[in-house]
Amino acid sequence: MNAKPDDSVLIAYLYGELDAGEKKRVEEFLEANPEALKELQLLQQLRKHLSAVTDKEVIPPPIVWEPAAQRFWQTPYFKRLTGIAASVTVLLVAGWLTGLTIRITDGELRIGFGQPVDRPNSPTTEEVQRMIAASLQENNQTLTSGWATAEQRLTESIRQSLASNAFANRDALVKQVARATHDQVRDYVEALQQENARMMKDYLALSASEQQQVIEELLVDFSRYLNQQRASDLQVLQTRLASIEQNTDLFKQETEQILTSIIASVEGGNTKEIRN
Amino acid sequence: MHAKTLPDIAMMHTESLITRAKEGDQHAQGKLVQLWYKRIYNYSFKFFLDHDLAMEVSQKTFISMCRNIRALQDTGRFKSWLYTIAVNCCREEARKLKNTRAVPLDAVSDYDGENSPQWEKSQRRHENPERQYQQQELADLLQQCLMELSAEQREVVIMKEYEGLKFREIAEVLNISENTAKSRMYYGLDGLRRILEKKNITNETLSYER
Repeated sequence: MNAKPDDSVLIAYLYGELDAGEKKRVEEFLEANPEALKELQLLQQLRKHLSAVTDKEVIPPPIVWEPAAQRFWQTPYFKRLTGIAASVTVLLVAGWLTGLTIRITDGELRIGFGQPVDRPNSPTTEEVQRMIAASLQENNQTLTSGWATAEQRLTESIRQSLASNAFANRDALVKQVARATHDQVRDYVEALQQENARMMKDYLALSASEQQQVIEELLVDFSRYLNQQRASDLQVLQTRLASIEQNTDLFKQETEQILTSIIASVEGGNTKEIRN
Repeated sequence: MHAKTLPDIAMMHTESLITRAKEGDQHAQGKLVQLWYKRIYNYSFKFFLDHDLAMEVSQKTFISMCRNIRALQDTGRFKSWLYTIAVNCCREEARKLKNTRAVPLDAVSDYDGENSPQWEKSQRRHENPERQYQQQELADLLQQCLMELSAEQREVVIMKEYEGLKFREIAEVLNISENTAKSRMYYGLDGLRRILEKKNITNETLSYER
């Protein structure tokens, strides 16, 4: 008979958590010990009853996380703040790099880059008016002086031209006219006529000789053309004649042939007739 | 019945969830809570036989789980790790209860029959009402008997009988030897049998009631 197994072994057997060897050993023991078996069966029955207690259905509630779980640097507020801070620093750095200066003095906002430049104060209205008046005055002065000189020059030139035209030219013409006599005029006309006549003569002579030359050349050319024409005509005639000769020769030959063929046929006919 | 299979099925699904939860994925942590809440609640409920306490313990357990899951070394040990937390929470609550509320637990669980929340929530209401009533009465009775066990035995009996943990796992949860767990179970069952006998409830009457 086996020794009684431990309670722990029996309970493991009850829940089927023994390996095959141990299980067999317990089973053997139980077969030999009905009391122990009965005890175990009671426990088995109790287990069955215990299964009457079923699970309760439950809906898991939302688990409340502790606020500390969310760190400060994870909050959207912090993120927004860092975003603003970052953009501000970027602007500041950009401003520093470009040497941006912003100043407010005497209710005047100045935004600039680099070193500030001191500028003279802007002129007052009185000064501006004074300056305008001075410039206008200066302008007027120059204009009036210009006008005066122009006027002077004009009057002078008018005076000069009037003087020269009116008196000097008229006197010279009158003098020349008075100097020219009738004889001189006649001589001049005669000389002109003579010259004209000589020129006409020369022209006629020249033109006549040229005409003669041209006519001669024409005649020569014409005679040469005629000779050429004649020569070519002769050539044409000769060739025509030669061709006619050839044609007649051909004709002769043909007729001879025809004749010979006729003669031959006639002779052939005769021989046939003779044979018949 | 459920207890034996459900946690195992849940375990299969939780492997990847645990790794994600360890990386701080709150969605995965929420999923883990959804999967395991019923188990922890039912363990706590059977331990205290009190809905409010069970809810409180469950909440504390899962808050602690989410906070400490990074420290979990082996994902395969998640189940026993979670039950360890639950057991510790239960013990803590029990200690508080001892100090503040000196009300006998029998007096607390005074509902039965149609007054019981179990009656309202039961899914088998449509079945034979008399049988349903008897079943409920038996369940209540057994739970009250369970409360008469020592806390040490009660822990083991609930974990073994209703949560379907292996003795190895129970030993791991309670940080005791496997043999100790087994003998606690044995004495727990034996004690239950004796309590039932003391209440004049024999196997015959139980069988009749069933």
